[in-house]
Amino acid sequence: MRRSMTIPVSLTPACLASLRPVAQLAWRLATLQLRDRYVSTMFGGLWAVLQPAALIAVYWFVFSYGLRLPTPASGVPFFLVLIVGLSVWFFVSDALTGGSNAIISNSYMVKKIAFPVAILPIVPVLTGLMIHGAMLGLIAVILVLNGFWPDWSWLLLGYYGVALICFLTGWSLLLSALSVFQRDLAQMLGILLQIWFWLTPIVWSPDLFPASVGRWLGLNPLYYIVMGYRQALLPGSEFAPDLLSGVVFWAATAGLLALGVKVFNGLRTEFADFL
Amino acid sequence: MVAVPEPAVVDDSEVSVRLVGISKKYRLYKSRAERFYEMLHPLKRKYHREHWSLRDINLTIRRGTTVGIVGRNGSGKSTLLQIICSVIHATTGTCEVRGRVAALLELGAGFNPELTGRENAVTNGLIMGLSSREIEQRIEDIRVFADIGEYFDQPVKTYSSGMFMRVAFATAVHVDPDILIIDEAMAVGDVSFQEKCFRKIREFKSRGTTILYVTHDRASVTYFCDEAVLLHDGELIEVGAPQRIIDLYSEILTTGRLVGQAVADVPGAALPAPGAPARTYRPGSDVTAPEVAAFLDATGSEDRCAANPLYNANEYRFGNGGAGIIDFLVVERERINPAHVRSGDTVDIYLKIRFDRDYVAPLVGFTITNAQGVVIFGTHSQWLHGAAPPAAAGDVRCYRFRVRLTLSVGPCFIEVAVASAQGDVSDVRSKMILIEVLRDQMMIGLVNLGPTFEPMT
Repeated sequence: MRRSMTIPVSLTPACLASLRPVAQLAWRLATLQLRDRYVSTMFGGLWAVLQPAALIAVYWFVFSYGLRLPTPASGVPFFLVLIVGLSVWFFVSDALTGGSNAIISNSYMVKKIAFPVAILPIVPVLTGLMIHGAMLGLIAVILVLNGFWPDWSWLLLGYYGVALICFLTGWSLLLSALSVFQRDLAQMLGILLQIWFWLTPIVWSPDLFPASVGRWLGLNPLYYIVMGYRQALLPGSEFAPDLLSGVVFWAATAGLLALGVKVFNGLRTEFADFL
Repeated sequence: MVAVPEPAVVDDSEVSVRLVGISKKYRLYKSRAERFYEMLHPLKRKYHREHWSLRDINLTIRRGTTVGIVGRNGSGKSTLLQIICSVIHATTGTCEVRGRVAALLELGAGFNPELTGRENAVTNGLIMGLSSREIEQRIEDIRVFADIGEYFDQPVKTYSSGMFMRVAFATAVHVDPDILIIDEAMAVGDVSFQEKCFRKIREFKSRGTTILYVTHDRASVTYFCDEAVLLHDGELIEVGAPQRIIDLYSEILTTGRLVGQAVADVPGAALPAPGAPARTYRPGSDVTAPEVAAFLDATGSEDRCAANPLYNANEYRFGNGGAGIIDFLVVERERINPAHVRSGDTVDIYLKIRFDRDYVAPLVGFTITNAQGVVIFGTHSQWLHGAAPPAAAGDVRCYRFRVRLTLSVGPCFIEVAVASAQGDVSDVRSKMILIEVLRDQMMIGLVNLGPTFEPMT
């Protein structure tokens, strides 16, 4: 019997095979959650597209007509720079909001059935990934319509995507476990996300800042991902993230994953008692 | 407290569940803030009160046995099952479980109300360790077993509790568990579905599945289980034969505690003072139990009904006075004031009546009603016996009804009354006696008509 599931460390074939039903369950819960979110609405899955589309439209209007940001040196239209950055942000925001609720909102399972609870914080990351995948498909179409044909550099997306998933999984493990014991966390997360959004070069470009400020921007792990996505999808060398930001990102991710696993496994046995 | 016998040594390969020294502590806080302060307090100050739901439980369950777990609400039954399912974790002790577990913990074992019955069944199957392919093969069987028609593809939030249970049960039994855990789930189904569940459980039994069964339905424990466990206030009181455990449990239910031997506690059983003249009973009396003799011999005229463990404090008493029922005693063979009897047992109901004026022929009667107040049976002394001997003011007299309780009602009330021969009601104590006639799983209805069956050709 699966007495409990800890995050596996070895990648032997036997270990992977034993993960198969767990993976099936995680996938099932993710698709159900996606369905559940839109099942009772009239437009259904269309909302998954309409909400980000509205936000993109607002930012695009404000920043290209209202605030009139300078066009990047490479001549890539601002709109394209914007949507690539926002696609990352939507994924982050979805996964972290879902992650902070992952255990609480599934208390009906945690308290009633024995299953690897560690699946639950993975589920919102998977759900976010599905929407993110659809979004990237849409962006690819828009790029092609703008004359930017697929390039070998697009393959870099796989690397940055995996990096982002690792980063978000660490967060989700940590947030889902802590929020069971401290419900204020979900509110605090809302504020944190607001600040984080504006600290990340999504609607603005890093070259707006003088070098003295600009060199600190890389301390934000999301800087590496957002710039990396642009490096992958858009032509122009000014998007390539520097090495230092890569080191910062992976250090932060490794730290988060370690902390997340430790905190989650430490608190896991208490969930059913506290919920 | 009954001593817990050393558990028999069980061959290791036969063990299905082994609990060693399991205790479960809950921390109780006055508010959420207190819990937070405690987590952050630099000097580790304790804000909580401790509550032990389970204390030092040792239990070994052999493969293929059906074990009933009984105890009052809050005795720790559900906590114990949750620990065996590893939904919650014991504070101390080790819990070893071998094989796939399917559990029906209370209602709706982990169903998402927004999803349909089918979707929930599939998800639950995955959770219980089936692969997608295996579930695909079984989903049709689950649908047929649940038998809720088109509701199977409707959101679970639209279900009645019965439908909910049908789908949950159907899913649990179709994952081929090695250990099936059922927590009071069966109570909500209708009779025909209950019957279907019991049939399925019997099938599991014959296949060698270990079954843990929590219920308040005592008759089904004696009927189904090989073994029973009694929990009281988080402690394991005894593991043993179902009948023995049910007797102990019934005692806890009526008295709130276990006194071990009931004789000393029989109310009105003050032994006659040494040297007091032996009283002679009616000729042909078959009284042998000392408690009954003591009851008949006690001469006090104060009302002692409330001291009887079968006394129901919610009785309704009325009447014109002149005589009063002051004590009673219920005897089933050698059992004095038994909390429950089996269907078909013969019981003696002794009534002690004080007369405050002269009665030419007092009339004594009783009525049995079920918990819903339906009158099942009633009669009185005039019909059964003709005129009773006259009684004078100041007399205290005892009477006995002997009745075979061929009922199948569960808890029932006995109303007792005394009246004059003209029908002037002196004292009626409605629902004064509460006794349980164990419901027999093999029949439905209120009475046991004692049927037999034989194939003829």
